[in-house]
Amino acid sequence: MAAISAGEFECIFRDLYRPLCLFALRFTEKIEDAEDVVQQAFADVWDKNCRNVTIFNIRSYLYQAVKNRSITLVAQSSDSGLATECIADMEDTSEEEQMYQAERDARLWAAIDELPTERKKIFLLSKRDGLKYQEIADELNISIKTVENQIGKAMKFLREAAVRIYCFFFC
Amino acid sequence: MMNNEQDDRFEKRLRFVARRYKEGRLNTDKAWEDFVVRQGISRKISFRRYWMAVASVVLLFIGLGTFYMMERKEAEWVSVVTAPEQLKDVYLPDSTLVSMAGSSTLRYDAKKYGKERRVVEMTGKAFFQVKRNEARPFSVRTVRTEVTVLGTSFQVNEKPGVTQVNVVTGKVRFSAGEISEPAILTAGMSASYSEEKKKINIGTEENLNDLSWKTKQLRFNDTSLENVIKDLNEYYHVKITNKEGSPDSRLTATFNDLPLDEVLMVINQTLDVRLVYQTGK
Repeated sequence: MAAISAGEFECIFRDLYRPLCLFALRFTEKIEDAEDVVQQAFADVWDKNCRNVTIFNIRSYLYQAVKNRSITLVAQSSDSGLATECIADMEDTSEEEQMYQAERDARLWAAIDELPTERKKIFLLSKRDGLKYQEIADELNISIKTVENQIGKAMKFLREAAVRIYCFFFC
Repeated sequence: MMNNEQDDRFEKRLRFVARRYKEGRLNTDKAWEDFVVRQGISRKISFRRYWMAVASVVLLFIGLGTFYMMERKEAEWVSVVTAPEQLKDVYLPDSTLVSMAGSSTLRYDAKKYGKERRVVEMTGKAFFQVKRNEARPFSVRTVRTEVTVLGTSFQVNEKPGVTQVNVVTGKVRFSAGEISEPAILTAGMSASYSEEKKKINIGTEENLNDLSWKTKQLRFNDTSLENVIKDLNEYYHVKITNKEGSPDSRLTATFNDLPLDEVLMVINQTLDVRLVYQTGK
């Protein structure tokens, strides 16, 4: 009999899946890789659990496992300079702070998910794809005012979401 | 709330997340499903869930079955009881009207009533105006007798030792426990079953005042003083005695719910007698 029941494990999985993926994304460039790495880490923990191996802090264990697997994966493909940048960026923050950061990132991801379709599209064209407002306006055949307006609203919503996140963690 | 440093950090995190954002990815539900399939957790859980579901359904049916059986056996009695001298009209579910006299009880099984038959049980006195329904005969049961009809109006009066039935309209079947031959009564007829004689006696003479408690009308047609006193006693719940005058007098009169004092005054003057009454028993 496993130490953690399938029900408990499902709760842990659901809580940590997204944060772990966003944590993995600091090392890997591709989202598919990140999801694979996280799945493997969970599989490893489940396997250990089934063999009655006790893991005292599953959360830190999973973060550490994801980090190691991600770095290994990146090292194998060894074509990304970006990942090392991120690693350098992270070195000054504590392990605990890294986990919190991943959880906050997961909430930001969820907040982007919640944006209305059109607003989300405009927001992503700007912030993800780096298009200028004029380029977005041309591409979507809308006025530049509308683009500014939509991005303003999206930023306001995400900023508020972030405040909620910070409040959640610090207040 | 948010100072510059936090604002910078927010911008940075937002850029980080936005740059990696892909519509519909990092779907936790889907990821869990994949995980479950890959790790073979699915089968284990769903197998157990399947058996739990089967067990719940079986238990549910057993429960419902037991409940249903108990329900069917257990009658749901609706009872109406009247206080002495209280009159009460009761409509049964099929809109049959029961006018109950004082000190009477009426009950029926709400679960069965009207399903195949319409059965009520009673004590005391009650007048029935039965809604016609030939498919579902209406029966009144008393301790000793049963009256079955299709749709008529009639009265059942259960006195100590005697049960009396008066038919106003239609046709009724009057039977008493041990008597094999039931009596068929038609409009205007009355019959009584005496416990002592174990016999149904079909009334030859219509008593004008059997229903007076309901009609509020006392009628006398060349009635002997003895019978007048009997009817008055029953109607007013008193005990009347004749202090002087001829007991052989006969009375013809109609009283519409008059106070007893007035009624006695009229009779005393008409027949030259002196009737006085006592209340209570």
